[in-house]
Amino acid sequence: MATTTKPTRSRKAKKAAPTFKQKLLSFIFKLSFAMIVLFGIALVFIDIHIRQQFEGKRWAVPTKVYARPLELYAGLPLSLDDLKIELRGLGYQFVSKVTQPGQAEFSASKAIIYSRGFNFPDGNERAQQLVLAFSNDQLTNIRTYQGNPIALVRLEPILVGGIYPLNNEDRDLIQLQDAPQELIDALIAIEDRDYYQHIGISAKGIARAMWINIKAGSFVQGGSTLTQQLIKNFYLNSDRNLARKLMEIPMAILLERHYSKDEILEAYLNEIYVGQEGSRAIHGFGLASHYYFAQPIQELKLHQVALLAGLVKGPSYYDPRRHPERAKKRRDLVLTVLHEQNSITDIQYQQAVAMPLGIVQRASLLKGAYPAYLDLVKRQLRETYRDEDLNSEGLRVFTSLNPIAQNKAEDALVNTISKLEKWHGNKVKELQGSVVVTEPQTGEVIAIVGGRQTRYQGFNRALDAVRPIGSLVKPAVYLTAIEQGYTLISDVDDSPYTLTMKDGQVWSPENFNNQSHGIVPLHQAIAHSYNLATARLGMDLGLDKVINTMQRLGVTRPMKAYPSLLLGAQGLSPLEVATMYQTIAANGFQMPLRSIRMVTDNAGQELSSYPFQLKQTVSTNSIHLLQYMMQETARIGTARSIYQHLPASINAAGKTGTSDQQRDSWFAGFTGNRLAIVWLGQDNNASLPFTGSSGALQAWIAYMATERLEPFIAPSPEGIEYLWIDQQNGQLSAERCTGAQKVPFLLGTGPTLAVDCASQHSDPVSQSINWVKQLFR
Amino acid sequence: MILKTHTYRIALLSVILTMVGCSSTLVAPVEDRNSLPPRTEVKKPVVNNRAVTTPLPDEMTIQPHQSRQATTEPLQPSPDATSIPVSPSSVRPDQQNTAVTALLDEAGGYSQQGDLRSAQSSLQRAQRIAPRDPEVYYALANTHLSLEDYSLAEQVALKGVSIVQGQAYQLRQFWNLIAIIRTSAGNTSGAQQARDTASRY
Repeated sequence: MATTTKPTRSRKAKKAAPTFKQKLLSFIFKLSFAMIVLFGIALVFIDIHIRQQFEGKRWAVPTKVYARPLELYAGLPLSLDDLKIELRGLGYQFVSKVTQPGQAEFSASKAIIYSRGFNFPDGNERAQQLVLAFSNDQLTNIRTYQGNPIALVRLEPILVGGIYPLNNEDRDLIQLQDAPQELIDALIAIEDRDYYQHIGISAKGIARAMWINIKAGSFVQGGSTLTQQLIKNFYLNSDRNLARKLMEIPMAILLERHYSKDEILEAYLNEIYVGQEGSRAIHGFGLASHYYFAQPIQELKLHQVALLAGLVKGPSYYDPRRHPERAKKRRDLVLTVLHEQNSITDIQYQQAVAMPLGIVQRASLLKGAYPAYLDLVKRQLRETYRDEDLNSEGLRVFTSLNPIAQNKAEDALVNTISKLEKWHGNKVKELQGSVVVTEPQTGEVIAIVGGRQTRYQGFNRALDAVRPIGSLVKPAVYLTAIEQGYTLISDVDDSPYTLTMKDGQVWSPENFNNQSHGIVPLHQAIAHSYNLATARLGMDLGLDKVINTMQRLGVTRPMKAYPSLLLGAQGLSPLEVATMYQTIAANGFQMPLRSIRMVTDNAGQELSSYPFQLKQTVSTNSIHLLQYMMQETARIGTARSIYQHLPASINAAGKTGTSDQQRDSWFAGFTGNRLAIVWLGQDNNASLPFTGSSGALQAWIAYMATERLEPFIAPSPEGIEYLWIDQQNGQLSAERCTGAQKVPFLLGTGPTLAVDCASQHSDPVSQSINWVKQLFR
Repeated sequence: MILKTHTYRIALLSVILTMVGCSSTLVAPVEDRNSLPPRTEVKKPVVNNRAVTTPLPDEMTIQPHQSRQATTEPLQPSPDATSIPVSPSSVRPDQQNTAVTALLDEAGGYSQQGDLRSAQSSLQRAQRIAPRDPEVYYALANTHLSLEDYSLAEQVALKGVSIVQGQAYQLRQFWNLIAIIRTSAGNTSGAQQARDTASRY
């Protein structure tokens, strides 16, 4: 018994005292076990993470902002040159014979466009060949290639910008089937030849890469599979270290276990980093195609896709804009590999290597070209959307930006500023300016220029430069007068005026030329922009009444009821001025200025729309009388230089403005189809050597001269009658009488006394004698 | 009366011409401009592209396909060379282009299917192409009426009124529509006013 227990005890003793080796083994075993468990847990976590990332929202896709699509229809005022501006913005290739979407051919009076088609929220436009006939800067006829007439067709809208996430990643998502097969072939050939065979990592690939590199004597090929590269771009930061490299392997294998080769390839095409523009990182081939070639990826040719595939290895090193020779070498290497693998024929190879890189100049890419307009769009979007939705949900924003008008407004402003600087020499330094253009009947903002550096994303003067509006305020004063019973020929007093305010301050305004004009009819006081008459008139009417009128015209900024308000001491931004004048141009209907037409999600479903809205805040009759006075301003008043440059038929209406000390030069005016506000001034508020007439108005004219203008014609409302008035004494006159002018009145408010000439009206004999007299005068 | 004046004129003229001997070339009557201050060249308004007419009560504008005769003659030429443009008593829109017709038809189709949002969208597209086509505003006001957005419907119809000034038939149409809108909105007195206005045309 004892003997039997002993060995047991001794076994027990052995167990109780294991050797060092046993201890170590046990420790290693336990540690390994723990590590396997931990690794297993880690793998599970990684696995979950990968799947979540891959299946959920994989990319923060920036919001895309589009210009208005160009609507083509017979009768559209559009010159061939205007059409070219639009097509350049869309990245069309101008060719001698169109064969595929994204191409256009031109002759003297004809254009053939192969449109790309676009899925608009309210319907699809298909890709098709359009034959456009032009005559006198007008599109006269649209037909299909087969000759069938087309009533209306929309071109795809120009992508003018995006709203990016904080990391500034930008991308255009594409689907695998969008990518040219040649691109996929090239990627696989140059980056990962066994892509369709391996399990995520490839020993063969590494070996081959080493062999190729040794053979070439340089680092030509990396050993990472496309899957590993995706992981690298996708989940890991860009630090190069061993731990990261080690993580890549299990992650790549896990990814391959869960997803098909095509799914991974599609993700790769969208994720891979292929360039950098300033702070904006270019990700994915969809965007790369636009960034380098200004063309959608479907339209790329072999030599172009070869370059894109080659760029993956080092977007900065092979940057085709900075290092075109390196880039071409790399591209030709890709082509050589494709050729060696018999993916392309001899002829294809020869043709492709003979092609230049074909990279577009940055300037021709309109994305980011209109920062001032985009600024307005963003502000309007932020009223409805959160930042994180704007920069990650791939929203699509359709705006009313008209790139043709925008280009013209930019040119007009920049050229006028240069001319003024040249003209005035040292008296003006660093002259700045801004322009807002709207469509007066719809209230859509079609162009905004925020400063003379039109692509500069900084201070947006059109929205943020709040400057005294000077005489631009006068229409509000005179409108108030009309509403309070003044007629256009009511006497107003333009004699020196001094007002002592309650606090003892004295206000004594002066006319521009320091002269006073005594008693003048109301309409002349505004046409010639008399300050004394306006100050007296405004004080008689009451400041609160004038402020109320401005509010009804659409000004929402709080205004202080100082007398100097009457002469434009109140500061407004050009956009606010546009809102105010918009109401005048639209016959007294106030409408919110709109830059956005619609926002959709990334699938094209409408999220919000900004419909045409309006509210009549000024009677049609009163606005008609005001419009007449503003047309008179353009005919014979302070803005008469308009008709030295523009056709008399446009019937423009407007008002010049010059602020105190001549610090700001303004013009606000409209024709039938364009309302434009121009401001010129200096950021440091220094005085200018010119007025509203000789400054801002000149830029306004320069812009309008490039547009296809429609005349401003407002039919006379029923409550209005036009009477012949003697310009000297304001009495009734007649058409045949000297110095007669036809003036509108509210029914029954015209004068009753008539000049002699007019009172002979009833006598046909004397009338005829008069007529004969005139004949021989 | 006019006839009379002419008779006198012709008689007088023939007497004078006989005396003068018919040697000078006749020009149209020109008035004296000397009393006016010198001014930069300013021309008479010429009305382009746009038919200017006196009211034609029986004309249908709320109807797409009709031929409209354009005249480029200003309605009320002013004798004064500085002439401030004198507004015509009415302005007929340009001949409706086929694009607008197509969009109005499209909108009509959507309305019939009850898809008012799409109708609105087509009409706004039409408005951008022809922002002074009364028919567009008429259809748009109707769409907002169907959408029960009465205040906007009324404003759009009022905008239509401002466009068709001087054209009796269209004015009647718009004011009748406004009466319906106001009735729907429960504004009976306003509706009555609109009906009264309509009946004036």
